[in-house]
Amino acid sequence: MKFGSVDINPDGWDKWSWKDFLDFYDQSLKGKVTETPEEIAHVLGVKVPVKHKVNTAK
Amino acid sequence: MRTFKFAGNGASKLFLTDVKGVIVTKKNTTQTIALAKTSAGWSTLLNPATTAGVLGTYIDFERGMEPKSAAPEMTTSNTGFEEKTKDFAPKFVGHAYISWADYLTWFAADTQEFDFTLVLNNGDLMSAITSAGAQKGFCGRLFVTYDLPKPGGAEKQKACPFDIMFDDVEEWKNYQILKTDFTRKELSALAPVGVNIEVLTAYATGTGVVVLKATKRATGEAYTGFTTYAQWEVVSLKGDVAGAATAIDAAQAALGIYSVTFLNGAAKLTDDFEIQAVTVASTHITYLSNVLNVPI
Repeated sequence: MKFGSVDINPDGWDKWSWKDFLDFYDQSLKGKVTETPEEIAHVLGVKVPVKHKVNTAK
Repeated sequence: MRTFKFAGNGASKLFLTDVKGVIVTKKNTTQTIALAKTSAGWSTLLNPATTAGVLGTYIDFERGMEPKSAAPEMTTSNTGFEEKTKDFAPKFVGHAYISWADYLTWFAADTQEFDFTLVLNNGDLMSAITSAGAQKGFCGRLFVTYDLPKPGGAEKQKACPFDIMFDDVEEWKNYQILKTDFTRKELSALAPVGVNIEVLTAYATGTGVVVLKATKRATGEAYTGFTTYAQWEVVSLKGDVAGAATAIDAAQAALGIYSVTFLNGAAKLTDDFEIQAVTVASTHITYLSNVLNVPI
């Protein structure tokens, strides 16, 4: 699966933790792809933690 | 079993043409005689669609071939009666028409057992036949020579010697000449083109990335075709239970340089591992690298 100049094995990502994936992104993808970690994780099937919105309305 | 009967003399007194090459296959690799007569049959063994399917290759002995076979043992009894008391399996040294870089890839095969099907000048095969009637190479052992480059002249052509010693004289008693539908050069063309890979920047245990360089054998010209992760195969692992190419950055492919991430799942590899790179075009391997140890 191609992202920029990087080809990634699309198999087995559902077993990865989000922290491990972020390490992988920083070490092998950062600066070489235009997509964010969340975008690539979504395509590969890595479980992305849900971000809780903070309600600042008063 | 072969029963002797007087079988006549042919009108032609032609010599059997020279041996000019050998197909080296893994032990006990067999195929039907019908397939062995076709390049399609050999293509299945020499350049299939996967490296796991590769069961052999072809070595050209255009640079020379010297039989070294021992004469049969003849013994004279104390009564003066002389007879043959032992046969020896043939052996020879073939001087391969390959580069020094190709020869290096054979060092790991020294002393190993293979089956050898001899290829005659006209493309016909000199082959053993199994008891079930299948084609099989003669069983034997292969030896390489670790030596300095030859200085020149006739010795120069002997730079890549293969000593091949056959093990079973019984196979030779029943050998057959198989008339093929291909030429020797067509057979030679089946073997994948060899590419050299080397480590440019060592495996980083913090990232799992190793920078590798691929060049065409002996010339050093960049090979630009190993751009996908699936082309980099882990052949063996020394200390890890699993490992594979997870990603590859081919931004410098034009220079033959590839940054490949090898991981064991999400973990980094912790000990040496061996890799091989391959290009498959349609259903056949077209480029194949040496096996490279990546030290950690």
